[in-house]
Amino acid sequence: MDEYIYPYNTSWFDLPLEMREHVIKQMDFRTRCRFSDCSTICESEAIQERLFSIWSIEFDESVDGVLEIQVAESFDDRERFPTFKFEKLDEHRTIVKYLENIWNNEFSTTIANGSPTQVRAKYANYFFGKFQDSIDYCTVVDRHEVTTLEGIKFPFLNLDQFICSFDIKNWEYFHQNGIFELEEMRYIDYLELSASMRIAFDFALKYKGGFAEFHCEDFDQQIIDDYLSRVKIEGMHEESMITVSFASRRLGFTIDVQKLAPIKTWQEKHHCYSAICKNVVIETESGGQKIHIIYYDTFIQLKIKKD
Amino acid sequence: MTDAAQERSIKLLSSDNETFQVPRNVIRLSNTINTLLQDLGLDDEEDAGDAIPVQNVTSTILKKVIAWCQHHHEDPVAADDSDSREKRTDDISSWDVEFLKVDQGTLFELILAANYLDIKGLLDVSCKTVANMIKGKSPEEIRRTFNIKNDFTPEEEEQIRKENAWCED
Repeated sequence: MDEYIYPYNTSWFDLPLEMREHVIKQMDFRTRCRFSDCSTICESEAIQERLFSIWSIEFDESVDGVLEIQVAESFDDRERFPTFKFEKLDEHRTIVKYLENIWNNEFSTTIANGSPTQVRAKYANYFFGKFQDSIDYCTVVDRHEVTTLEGIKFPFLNLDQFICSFDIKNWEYFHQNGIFELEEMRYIDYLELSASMRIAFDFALKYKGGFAEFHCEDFDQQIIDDYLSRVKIEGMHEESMITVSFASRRLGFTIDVQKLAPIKTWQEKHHCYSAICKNVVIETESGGQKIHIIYYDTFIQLKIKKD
Repeated sequence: MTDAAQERSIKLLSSDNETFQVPRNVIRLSNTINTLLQDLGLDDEEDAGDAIPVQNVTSTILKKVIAWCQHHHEDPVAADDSDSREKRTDDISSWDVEFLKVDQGTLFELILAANYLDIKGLLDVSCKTVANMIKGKSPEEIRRTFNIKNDFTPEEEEQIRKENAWCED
């Protein structure tokens, strides 16, 4: 390989590693990628600051809003790593193109032509799909709008690796767009949904494959108690529901409602329940004691009815 | 630190034995010197005594560091950006831009001095300047600028070129 005649008598490596990392941290994403192409050492130094795994993805309120991707080696390490912040769609495309080139992803057409919702849904799919083996802990936060959720099918295949929570404030959107039938959700506030989501994903995390039954003891009773303490059962209107979300495409498992103490409590109060889902096929045994979920790819709701 | 302490001067001794008299409230930007003075109980002393040796910094660089501190010592304390978001590199003040128009060796020495003296503002702005030197350059240009030897095999290089064609869009 030819030796270059360098115009400067200083080398990148005159800086100690700590300082080199500090400089790399100041680089934008594209510069960082170009820098990593200079040599194997540069590559290894730059990649330290690049993509270990994705800690969180945050979507802001419009396609021209902010997409933040924070990388970290693990939950405990997340504070040490930078958040890539992409403020323009072009930058969104930049990172996706970068990732495409590494993992030969197929989303470029959609990214280029899709609606804001599609674009963001694809992002979510992309990252979850491609990084699931390396993600230790992933949080999806949708702080400002819920359109993101509409298009996302969560391809979580290895549920052990995911804990997700949604901080959702815009209830009206759900209702108006028929994502949830939430006429009676007004008394469940943001925190309560968040709690229910946590319960949901605790379900998911404990679900390990094939065909599973969820029993009361599978839950973190503390979480359920906390959740139920927030829900004003006595103040319920005609219907209420617990929103339970499973993020998987697994086929066939059973929730034995009888064995879920809190739900049983509700059932005793209200005698019957039904389960409704979006894009979900559910069979309910006679007497409604068990819900067999045959297929699902989005949110599942247990709807508790009053007499 | 008392008002009297703020007003007095500290002597710094460079690695090439040049002594600099620096107002206390200027050198306060160096956490290293601050800690040293506090640990030795000299912060409120009328006379801090002998010059503090700054062994890793030459007089040329120390002079520049002091000049930077002199200019910035009344700046408001920067907000903690420990949220570690990607940093901006286009927010360097025009004074700093001019200040850092130095040869690459000097720039690197300033980084090392800022790190040694723990002057966060100077460290950040000098690292940003280096990052800006890289920005917009091709890998080949970066190698030339920073004396980096390309140790990729031709096959690896070809692969990299394909993978990163997007960079050139």
